[in-house]
Amino acid sequence: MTWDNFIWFAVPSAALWLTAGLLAYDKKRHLSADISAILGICVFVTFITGFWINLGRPPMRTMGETRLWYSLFLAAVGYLTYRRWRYPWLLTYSAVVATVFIVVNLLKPEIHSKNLMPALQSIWFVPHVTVYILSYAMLGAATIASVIQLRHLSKERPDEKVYTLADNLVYAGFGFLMLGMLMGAVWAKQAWGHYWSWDPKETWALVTAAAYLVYIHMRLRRAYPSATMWVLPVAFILLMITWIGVNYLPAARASIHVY
Amino acid sequence: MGKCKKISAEGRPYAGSIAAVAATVAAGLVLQLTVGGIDYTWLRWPANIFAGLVLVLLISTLAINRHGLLFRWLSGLPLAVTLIAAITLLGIIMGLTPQADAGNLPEGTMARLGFTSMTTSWPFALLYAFILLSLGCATARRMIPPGKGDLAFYLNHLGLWLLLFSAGMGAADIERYKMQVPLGETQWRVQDAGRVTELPVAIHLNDFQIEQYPSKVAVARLSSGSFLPEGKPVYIEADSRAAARIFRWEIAVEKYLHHAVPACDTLYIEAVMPASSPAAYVRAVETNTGEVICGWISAGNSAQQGRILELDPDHALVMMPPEPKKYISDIDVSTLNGRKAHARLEVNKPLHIGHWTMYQYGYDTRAGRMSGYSVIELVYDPWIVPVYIGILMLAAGSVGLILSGAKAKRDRK
Repeated sequence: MTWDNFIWFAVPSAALWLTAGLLAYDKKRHLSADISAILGICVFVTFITGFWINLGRPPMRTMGETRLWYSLFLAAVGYLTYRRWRYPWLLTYSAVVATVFIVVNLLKPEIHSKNLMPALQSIWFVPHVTVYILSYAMLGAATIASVIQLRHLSKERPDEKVYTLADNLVYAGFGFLMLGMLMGAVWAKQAWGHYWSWDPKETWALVTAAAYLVYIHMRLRRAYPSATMWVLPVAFILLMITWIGVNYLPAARASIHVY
Repeated sequence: MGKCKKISAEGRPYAGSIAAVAATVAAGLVLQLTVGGIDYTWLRWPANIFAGLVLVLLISTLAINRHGLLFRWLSGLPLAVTLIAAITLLGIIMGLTPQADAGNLPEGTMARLGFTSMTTSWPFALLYAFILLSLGCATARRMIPPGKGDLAFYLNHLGLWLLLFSAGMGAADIERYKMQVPLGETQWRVQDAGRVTELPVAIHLNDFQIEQYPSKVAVARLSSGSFLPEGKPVYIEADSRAAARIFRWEIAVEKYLHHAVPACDTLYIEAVMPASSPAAYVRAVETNTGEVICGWISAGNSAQQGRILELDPDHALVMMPPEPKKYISDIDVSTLNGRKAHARLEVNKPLHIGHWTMYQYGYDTRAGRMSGYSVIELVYDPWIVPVYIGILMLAAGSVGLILSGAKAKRDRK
């Protein structure tokens, strides 16, 4: 399986996810929504598996390949949190964003060489990347929850359930973010001689983690609820800079993380 | 909302913390402008452990009066939030400002404020110390009496403190050298900023090998030196009898030799030797005219010239230089205190001897497989064990966050 086959899996997956995201609003059709979401995930997993086998290395090296995982994890996290909390918007949001990343990959796949350079040949490669992308997906969902809560707050009617949802997503997302960073540190010590080199990507990863720490600690007190909720969208912008923006920053020209 | 407003208006919980942190950063900026950046060499062993003991002693003394205003403020949430926010801001500045290194010494306002060498700037160092103090107090507050609070809290806070402490205090003790070891020789000296230093570690290079990926074939536009299609070039993996259509040609690789030397003008033969280079017999068919062009192409190296196959006056089939898959140094290591080891060093597979770690760093990339030397990086880090303990504690704490989520906190309330 190659990028040429992607469209035949991507379009059905996106269609199934979007269908699920619409069906979820109809209480009588929850089962159809569940089936549709799961089927979409299965189709997408089939492509990634075939693609991985064909490449002979994990498809996690290039931007296009990480976007593949983001679409998958977003659909999965969106579905699981929807199952837990039964907010239909969770399913719609994850379907729309997963589709956006599919479209980006169809239009601009950024195909690179099949070859894996020596520094990336490590047992840490797969867990480091997957855990990060999983955390990005959760923190993305938390951002939407914060936007919804900000709307409630503007009407002075915060929804406790949304608070709990946002907090849980941030705790889990931050946990995965830390695991990704710590695994990266151990890997860096093994490959580059030091666990922290202040590479621009590392600096931005630290900034991102610190921003979520601000949210976690602010939430332990009830002061300034709106300002606290605003931390999440801001933190997500920092996260996007870490993930995608760093490649375009002049400060990162010498980064060893730019692929 | 009304209730929340009242709390914030009454308490102004952040005012004191913001003032203190802002004053710290301001003091840092003044120091930076007057005395310049920090040279951490004064923190070398045993100064760093001494500074650490003073810090621990300070935290313990403060913790004795755990209901005291100062300790409560230092260990409190508002200060924690403010400190993290401040380090986030410095991080953003650092992430946007190209940092100084050996080849890049910027000047101007950002440089004078220390922002182009953030980690050796006063604002950063003072904030780092402040965080160690506050984080230490917060941990101590929850540890007395022990058992109060959840396990994830201890793992995360104590783990982070240990990590920040050992990484920060230990930074001055880290030594890094790049040693160029000629094939068949023993080396213990390194060039460090123009000075020759003798290390307590000697390395003998028995053998150096490179494994390469198969080369790739591409169509080049000779006038521009670019590969086609422009901006989105297609590379054919040369080993797989692969075929592809590029621009106006159907291209097929009929035969691929990874170790080849030219036998005559029209033939390459297989020969496994250092000077050999990848070569392939390729066939290109012009899709409009059906014209067939066949011939050998070769990537070439410093011992033999590469060969291209002209398709028309402006286009040619070329073979890309092979990319390294693995490079391995077979070494024997001996240290001044009598320890010996043998290893096959590879990227991602370093060798540990005592506090020294040896890494495969590089080789003569122009010579490729004919490289007459290997570059080995030697890192001395006596603080790595506490750093790893901190990392492990934080990792366990992160798993705790994932599993319990915000639930633990709600239950406690």
